[in-house]
Amino acid sequence: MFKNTLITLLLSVAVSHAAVKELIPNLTSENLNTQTQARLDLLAACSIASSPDGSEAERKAICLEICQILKGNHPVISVIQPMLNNLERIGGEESVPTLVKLMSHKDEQIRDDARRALLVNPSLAAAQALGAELKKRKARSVRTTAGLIYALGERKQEGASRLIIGALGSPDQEVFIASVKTLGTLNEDVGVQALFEQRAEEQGFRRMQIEAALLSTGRKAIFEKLQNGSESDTVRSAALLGLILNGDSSIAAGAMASGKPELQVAVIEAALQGKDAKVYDVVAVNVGSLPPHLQLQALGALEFSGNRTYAKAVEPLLKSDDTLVQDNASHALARIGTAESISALMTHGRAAAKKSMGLIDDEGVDSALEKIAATSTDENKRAIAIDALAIRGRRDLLSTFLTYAADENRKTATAAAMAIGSIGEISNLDPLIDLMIAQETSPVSRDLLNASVAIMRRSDDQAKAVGVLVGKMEGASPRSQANILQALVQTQSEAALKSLAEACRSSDEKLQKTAVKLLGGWKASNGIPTMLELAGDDSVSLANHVVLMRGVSRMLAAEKPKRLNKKLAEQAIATCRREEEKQAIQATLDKAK
Amino acid sequence: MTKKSSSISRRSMLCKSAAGASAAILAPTVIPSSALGFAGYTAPSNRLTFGMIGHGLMMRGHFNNMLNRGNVQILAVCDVDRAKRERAKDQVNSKYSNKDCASYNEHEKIVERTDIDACFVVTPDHWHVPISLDAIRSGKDVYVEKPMSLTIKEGRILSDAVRRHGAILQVGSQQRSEKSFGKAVEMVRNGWIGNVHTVYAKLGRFPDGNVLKEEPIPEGFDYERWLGPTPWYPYNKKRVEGNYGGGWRSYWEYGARKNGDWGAHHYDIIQWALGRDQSGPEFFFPKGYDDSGCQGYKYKNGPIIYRDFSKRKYNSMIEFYGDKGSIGVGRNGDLKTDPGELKNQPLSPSETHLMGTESHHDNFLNAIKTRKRTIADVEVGHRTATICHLSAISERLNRTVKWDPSKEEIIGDAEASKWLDRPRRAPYTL
Repeated sequence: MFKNTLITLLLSVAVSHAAVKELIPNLTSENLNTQTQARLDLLAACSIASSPDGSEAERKAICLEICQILKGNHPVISVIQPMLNNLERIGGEESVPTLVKLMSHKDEQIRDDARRALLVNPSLAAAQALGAELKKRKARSVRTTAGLIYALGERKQEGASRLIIGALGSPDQEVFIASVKTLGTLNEDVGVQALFEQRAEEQGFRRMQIEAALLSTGRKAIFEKLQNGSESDTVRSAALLGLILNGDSSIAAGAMASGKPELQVAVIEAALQGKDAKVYDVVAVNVGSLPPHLQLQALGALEFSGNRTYAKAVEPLLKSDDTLVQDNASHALARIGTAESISALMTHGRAAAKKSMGLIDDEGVDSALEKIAATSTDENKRAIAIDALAIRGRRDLLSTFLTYAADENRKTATAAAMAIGSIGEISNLDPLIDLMIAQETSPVSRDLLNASVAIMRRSDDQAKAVGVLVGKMEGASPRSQANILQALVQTQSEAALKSLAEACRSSDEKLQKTAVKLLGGWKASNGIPTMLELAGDDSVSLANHVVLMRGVSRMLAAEKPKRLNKKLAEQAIATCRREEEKQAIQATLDKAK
Repeated sequence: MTKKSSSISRRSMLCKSAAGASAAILAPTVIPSSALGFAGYTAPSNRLTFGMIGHGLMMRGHFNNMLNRGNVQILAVCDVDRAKRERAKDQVNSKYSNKDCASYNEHEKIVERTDIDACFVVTPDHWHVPISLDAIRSGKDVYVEKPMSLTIKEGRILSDAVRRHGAILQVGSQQRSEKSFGKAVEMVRNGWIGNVHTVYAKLGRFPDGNVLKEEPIPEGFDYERWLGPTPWYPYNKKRVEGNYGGGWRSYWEYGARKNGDWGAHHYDIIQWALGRDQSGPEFFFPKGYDDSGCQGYKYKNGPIIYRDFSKRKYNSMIEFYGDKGSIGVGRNGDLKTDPGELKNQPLSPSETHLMGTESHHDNFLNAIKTRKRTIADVEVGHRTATICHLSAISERLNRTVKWDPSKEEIIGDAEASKWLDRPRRAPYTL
C-alpha cells in the first residue's frame, strides 16, 4: 500500500517537473496565443502542485524546478517573470535563496517581483532576508527602500519597528509613507511613540498619514491624546469615536453637552456603530437642541436604534423649520414610531410623513388610520389616511376605498381611487369601471380611469382584464366608452384593437373621434392591418383617414429597414388618399430597399 | 501646525441649514452668474464639492450627472491620461463658465485639498481601495465603482477605515437602487417564494487576457501610475483600455474578470435578498464540480448559486427558486414571478421593507448630509466583493474553496489563502 502510494507520488512529481520544463519553448513562442496558453498551463501546474490534496514533496519539487529555471539565462518578460510570479504564490523556504539572489537582478521589475515573492513567502528565512536587505548600507532606489519597509509591515514582522523608525523623517514621500503605514500596522510601542514625535514635524498630507496610522492602532491612550482641543476637528472626532467604541460610553454625555459639533458628531456616529443603549440615550435626549445638520445625523442614528421610546424625542422635529429635518424625522418614525406618532405625522402631512404612517409596524396604527379615513371632518386628513392605508397594503379595505371613491368630496374620492390603483387586483376592475361609468360627469372619473389603467398594466392576466373592460363597453354612454377605450389602449392587445375598431365606426361623433385618435397613436405593429382597413374605407372622413395613415406611416418608419414588411408598406401606399402620407411611406420603403 | 480645517467643519458650515436653503452670505467666488443663492439655485457655500477621479467609460454617467446638479460643484478632476483629464476639466469649466477646475495626474492632489467634500473613484479595480482609503483618511466621503476592492484583505482595511473615520461610502452597485431588484429582494426576504434553494446569475465571459507585445507608451499617459500596485508588464494599448467587452477587465491582475464585473452586481443582489450583507457563502466551486456545468457557490444552510446556467426559466439576469415559487429579475424593469400575481402583492408593515426609493446618486448625496449608511455601504461592498474574489480564486486555481465568513479566512488551503491579498509593487502601499 505504502509502496503504491510512493510510486504514485513520485510519478506525479515527475509529471510536474516535465510540465514546467516543457513549457519554456511555448513561453517564448512567437505566437502570443501559444505564450498565453503556456502561462495558463504553468499556473495550472503550480495550482495542482500546491493543492491541499497534493503533497508537500510535489510543491517543493516544482518550486525547485522553477528556481533552477530562474537561475538560467532566459528572457525576462516571457520566462523569468511568469516563473517568478508563480513562485510568489507557491514558494516556501526552498525558494528563498533564489529569491534573495534575484533581488540583485539587473532588471528593476524582477528585483521587485522577488521582493514581493519574499513578502508572501511563509518561511522565517524570507522575513530575515527582507530585514537583512533593509539593513544593508548600500545605495538603492527610493522605491526599493519603500518596498522593503512596507514588506516588513505586511509580514507583521515583530521587532521591525526599530529598523524602520529611522526612515520616518525621510524627505522622500514614498519612503516616509511606507514607514508611517508600516509603523501603524506593526503597532509596537516604540513605533507608535516615534509616530507621535514625528507628527509634530509634519503638516498637510504627511501629517494626515501619521494621524491615520495612529488612529488605526486602536489604542485607547492614543485616542485620549488625539481628542485634545488643539487637534483638528477630523482627528478629534475620530479619536472620540474610537474612545466611545472602546467602551468608554460615560464620556458621551459630556461630549454632547460641550456643544462642539466635532464631538457631537462622534457621539452620534458611536451610537450608530456601537448600538450602546447609554450612548443612544444621550443622542435621544439631545436631539432637539442640536443644530439642524446634527439633528439630521442624530435622526439617522435613532432610526436604526430599534427603540420605540425614542419616538417621543423625534416627533417634535416634525415641526422643525427645516424641511429636510422634518422629512428625516418622518423616516425615523417609519421605523421607531408608534400608534401615538400618528397624530403628529398626520398634522405634518408631507409625503414623507404619509409614507411613514404607511410603514410603522405598531399595534393600533391601522385602526387609528381607519378611524380618520372614516370619520374625520378634515378632508386632507381623510385623504392622507387613505393613502397611508394603501401603503400599508390593506387590500382588505378595497371595497371600503371603492365607497370612498364615490364620496362627494374630491380629495377623498381621488385618494381612494389612487389607493385602489396602487394595490387593487384584477377582481376590482369590474366595480371600478362601474363606478367610473356612474361618475362619468365627475372629475373623479379620470382618477378612476387611471386606477383601472394601473391595475391593468401590472396585471399578469391582461386578457382577463381586457375582457372585463370590453364587457363594460356595451350599453355604456359614448363618454364612458371613450374612457374605457383609453384604458384598453394601454394593453395594446388584439381584443383592445377590436373594440377600438368598432368604436371608430360609431355613429357617436365624439366617441368616433376619440377612438380614431387612440388608434392613430397605437404603438404596436399589430395595429397596422386594422388601421389600413379602416383608412381604406371610403366612408371614413378625410380627417380620420389622415390620422390613421399618419399612425401607419409612423409605425412603418419605426421598423428596422431589414425587418420592414414591404408588402404592408406597399398596401399602405395604395391606401393613402393624400400625397403627403404616400411620400412619407414611400421614403421608408426606399430606405429599406 | 496644521490649519484647523476639516471636512467636518466644512460639513458643519454646509449644513447651517440642513436643507441648504439659507441665503448665502458669502459672496460667490466660484460660479459667478448662476450661483447667487436665489430660488432655483444653490449657493456655492451650500454645494457639495467633488473631485472626480478616473475618466474612462464608467465615469461618463457619473460625471454628467454631477455636472448637471445645482447642489454639486466639481472642483477637480484626475486621470493618468492627460488628454482625458484635460477634456474633463474643459467640460467643467465650460459648464460653470469659469476656469476654476483643477486637473491632476495624481489623486493625492485631490485628497490633500480641504475644500473638497467627496470623491468619485471610477478607476480600474486595482486603484479603488488605495484612492478611497486616502480620501477617507483625509476626511472625505467616497463613491467608488464596483467591485469595491481588488482583494479581500484590502476590502476589510477600507471597511474598517470608513467606520474609524465616520465616513460615508457608496459602492456603485446601482442595481440596489433599481425598483425591480428591490421588489425581488423584498419578495425573497419576506419568504414569498418559500425557502430559496437555487439561484442563477448571468455573468457571461471575457476573452482570456492574452500576452501582448510591447508598444511605446503614448505621450501624456502615465503608465507607471496606471499600473500602480499591480505587477509590471510591458505597455500595450489593449492592456489599459476601458472596454466593456475586455481590455483591462480581461486580466486577473486588475480584477476578478466577470466574477467581479457582473458578479459585483448580481452577487450583491443575491446577498441582499438572502439577508447576508454582513456575512457570505461558505463554499465555492469551479466548473465541473457537479453536473450543472457551472461555476458557483453555496451558503451554509442556504441556497446554491450557479453562474451562467444555460436553462434558466425566465432568461433573466438573476433567478431565485424557492419551494413555493420563483422570481426572475433584471434591468429595465424586468420582473417575473411564479405565481404571476406575486409581484403585485403589497407588503404589510410587519414585513421587511428595504425602502430603496432614491436614485443611487441621490442616495449618496443625501447620505453625505444625513450621515446615514448608504444603500450600498462599505461593508456591503466588501462582502459582495469577497464573493467575487473567492469565485475568482476558485476559478483560477480550478478547485473548491472553503470560506469562513466570520473570520474571513480560507480553510485548509495555504495557496488559495495567499490570494486573499496581492503583494503590492513598490512603492505602492495601502
